Amino acid sequence: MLFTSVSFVIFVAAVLLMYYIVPKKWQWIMLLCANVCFYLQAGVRGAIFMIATIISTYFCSRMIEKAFDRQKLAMEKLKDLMTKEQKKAYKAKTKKNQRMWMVLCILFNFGILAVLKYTNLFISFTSLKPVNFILPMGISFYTFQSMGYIIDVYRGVTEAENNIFKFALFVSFFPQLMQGPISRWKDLKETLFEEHSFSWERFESGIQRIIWGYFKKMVIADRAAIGLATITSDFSKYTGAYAFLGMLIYAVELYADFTGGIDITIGIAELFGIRLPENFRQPFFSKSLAEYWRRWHITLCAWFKDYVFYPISMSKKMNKASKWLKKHVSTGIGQRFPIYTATIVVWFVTGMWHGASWNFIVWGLLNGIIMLASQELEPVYAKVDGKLHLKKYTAYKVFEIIRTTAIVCVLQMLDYHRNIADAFRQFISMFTTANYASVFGSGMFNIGLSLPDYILLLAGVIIMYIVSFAGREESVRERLSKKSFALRFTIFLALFLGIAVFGVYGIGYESSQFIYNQF
Amino acid sequence: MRKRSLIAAGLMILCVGLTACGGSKGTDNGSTTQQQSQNTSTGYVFTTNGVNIAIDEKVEDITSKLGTPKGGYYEAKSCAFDGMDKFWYYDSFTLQGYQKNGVDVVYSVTFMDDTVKTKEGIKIGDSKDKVTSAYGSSYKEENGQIKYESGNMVLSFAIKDNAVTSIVYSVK
Amino acid sequence: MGKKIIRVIAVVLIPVVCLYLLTLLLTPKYVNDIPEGSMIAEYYKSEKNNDVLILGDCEVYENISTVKMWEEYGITSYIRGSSEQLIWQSYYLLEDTLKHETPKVVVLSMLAMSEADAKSEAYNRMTLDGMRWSKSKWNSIKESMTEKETMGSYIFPLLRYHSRWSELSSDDIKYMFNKPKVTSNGYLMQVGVRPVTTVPKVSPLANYTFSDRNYEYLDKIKDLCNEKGIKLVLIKAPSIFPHWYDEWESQIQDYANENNLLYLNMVDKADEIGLDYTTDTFDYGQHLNVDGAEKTAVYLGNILKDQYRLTDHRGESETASQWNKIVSDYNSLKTKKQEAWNNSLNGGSQ
Repeated sequence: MLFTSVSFVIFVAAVLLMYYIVPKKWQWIMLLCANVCFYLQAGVRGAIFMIATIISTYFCSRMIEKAFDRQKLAMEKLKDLMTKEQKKAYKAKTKKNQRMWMVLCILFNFGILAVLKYTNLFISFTSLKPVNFILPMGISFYTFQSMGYIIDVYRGVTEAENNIFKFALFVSFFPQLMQGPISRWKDLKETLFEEHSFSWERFESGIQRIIWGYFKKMVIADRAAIGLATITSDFSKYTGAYAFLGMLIYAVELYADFTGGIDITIGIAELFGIRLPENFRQPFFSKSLAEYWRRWHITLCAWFKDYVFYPISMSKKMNKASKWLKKHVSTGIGQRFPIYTATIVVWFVTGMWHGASWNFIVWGLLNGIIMLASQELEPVYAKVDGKLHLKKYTAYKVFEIIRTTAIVCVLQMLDYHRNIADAFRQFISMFTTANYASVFGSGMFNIGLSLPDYILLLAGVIIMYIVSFAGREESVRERLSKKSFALRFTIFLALFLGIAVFGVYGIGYESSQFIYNQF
Repeated sequence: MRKRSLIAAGLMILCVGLTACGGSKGTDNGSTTQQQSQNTSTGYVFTTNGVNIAIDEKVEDITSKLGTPKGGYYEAKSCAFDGMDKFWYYDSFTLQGYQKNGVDVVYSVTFMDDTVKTKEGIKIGDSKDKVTSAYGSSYKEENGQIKYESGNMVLSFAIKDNAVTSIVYSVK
Repeated sequence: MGKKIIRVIAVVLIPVVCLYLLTLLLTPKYVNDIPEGSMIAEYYKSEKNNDVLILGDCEVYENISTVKMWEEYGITSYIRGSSEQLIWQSYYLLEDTLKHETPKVVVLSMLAMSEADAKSEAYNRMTLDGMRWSKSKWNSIKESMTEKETMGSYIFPLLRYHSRWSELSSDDIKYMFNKPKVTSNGYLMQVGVRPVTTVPKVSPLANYTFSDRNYEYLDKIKDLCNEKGIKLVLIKAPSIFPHWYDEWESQIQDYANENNLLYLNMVDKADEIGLDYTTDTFDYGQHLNVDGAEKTAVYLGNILKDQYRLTDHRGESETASQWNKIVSDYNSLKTKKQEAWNNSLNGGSQ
């Protein structure tokens, strides 16, 4: 069921109605049933994998929790009988036991993901034939969400949930199954299971966000997708200015598609009274790539930071290695070694997460490398700034924003090309093929987009920028909520009618899926 | 300073390395796509008087070689719309064209009698076995026809009482 | 409390009104371009007191002048024709028309028997969109839909036509609420002459048997006519192209004989009708121009009048005044179109 399908809208409406009809203490059970329906209609086979993840994670988390309980009990009972060393040994033993459960759980679940998603990547090293697995819906998202949970339980950040059905709801919450955000148990454990009474304010706010999401998705992203599909259909034909145009169109498409999808997700959750974490914070106002990654797909990046970056860079072994390098090679390298290693690992895995092919891995690594490079260049910038005081000029800030946008756009070329050679060739051709005059004169209208389409896209981009800009301090919807009802209504009626008229749907437009469903 | 140049060098090596490995992969890819496009654009081709007639080929290229059809030329407008079916009546076959991107291209070739043969040697009146031995057994059978699809075209033989009654090359 | 109710009403009503207006704006107007799309809806605006109802595709709505039948015999007739009208679409249009009037004779074009399936969405739209909502329309849509079509887009045409936003013209605003008539009681006038110079050759077909579904609907039409006491007449209009195969002819003849129906094949009756394919066709013999359509009307009307003893309504003042208006509109349109055709000839185009 796609977000843009009529059946999805009907499904949400039906679930919503039931949700507020049933006794409040059953609301979460209602939601769980909705998830089961949602997942089963996508195929029973996929559901089996999710159930395996739920059961295994639940079981391991309970085992870890029990070890905590045993230890607590033992400490209380045997407080006076044990020596300090004995206590320490007992704790270490507990930790070891817990660690085993966590590792087991992670190996099992990432094992499923690896087999289903990455088998063909491994096969590409051999002469074997690729196999055709159908990926269960949302597997990358719910696996990450579950593994975050088990690590948090192991770390003692959260307690393990007693009720497997509650845990199942956390893993399978249907609006976020298809494209995130990747939530944490500690953020959802209350909001998911609380009793929610219907509120008009919240309803309006949710609907607003959903409409805005659909507008971005159907009017902007799906329109951009038409042009991009033409360009990607033949890279040998669409070079130079077309490559440049394709790069811009993809940036617009990805942003509108992904943020639009998340708006719909968060909006739907809001209708149920559930608050999901934000996934974006005006990413295209970032002044550096590192900042961009703190503002784009926030929940994924936070996941990697907490569960990959810190554990690697702060580990005891890394500490030892760093010390050794400082002593035997140089202080600089010793200092950098943990950060560099962790960064490269994180970005390698981030690339892998986005897709089981080399273009994504290279894309991830280049992101990491550029960020490290800019870190290294920081002192130089500081020096220059110390002399010229550039930072106080708005123009310089704008320059930084454009620079970051350019880097993001160029790197994304690896994303939609799916083939490293094509991406590089297209990139080079932007500078070597001198067809800018003809393409921007007439050629751009031969890729499935007419002048009115371009005008609409441009208007869409401007609207998105304005909305982003207006939402820096306080979210646009909060600002709007202070305005009169008539104004609010007019704005969202305009958006709604905009979708009805300008939306890319129906015969004559190819239906397109959310880009992020593939990950 | 040294550090930076090291990083720069590292980046460059990486780029070169990537383009290099990408390059070899790219040529592989290029040749396969070329092959594919060749396959899709031709399919079965009818040859007459040394002129090849393929589906979706420009009609003008063919008529300029074959000359004006003796049976004349006819155009039929679709009801209500601008579309137009055009017919060139050659002696033993009829060429039908339609507009694609503003150009007349071949829509179908229909045999009118048993004086013409397909490139593979089949003519009206031949037995079904002869067809299947010439074209193989991977055909679709529907409506009293056996159809061989290739690329974006289909070659259909109507069979009645074990004999071919019509032969048509056309857009799928 | 009162304020809240007003709000709720506004929130529901305003979007609905807006969507309705947008639908009116964005649906094709079919006035100057492709008037064929207007024909089905136009019927509801006409006087519904016809003795003869003619159903079918362009072989009827371009080949039979309803006005001539009136002028010559006082026969009141209406053509519910549409491009590529399929047999089941004719059936559902018959059902639909019978809700408004019961003619004495139904004339049905037979060319559609050779069409086993809907050709394209565009033709479906032109036949179906114009029908008023009823069970007949619903069923006709269900039977006609091509692969990508949805019932939803027929119920809410905006879902289908919203993409026309970038091609709106002044006609879309001009004819948003009201459209002029494009036919004379269903007859779509064509002028000009494009004579037959090449006689198209006949290609053999793989299969000449009409589909079971077409027979099924032909039966339904026959049964419905029987039930209502209506005489059913099958016709094949005169034309050079598309070819009317002998195999088709014998199937229709058999059907007519079995069911005791009148079947008129006018393909070979050019001489009897007085048709001249060098002057009476506007598209090389596929359809007739107004001269040809009038000749056909005289021929057909004569047979219908004799066979079914149709009343001459010319003496009835109410009907006559109604038809006088149609006739005068028809004549002025004819003059206008002839002039435009002559101008185009003088201008060297066409």
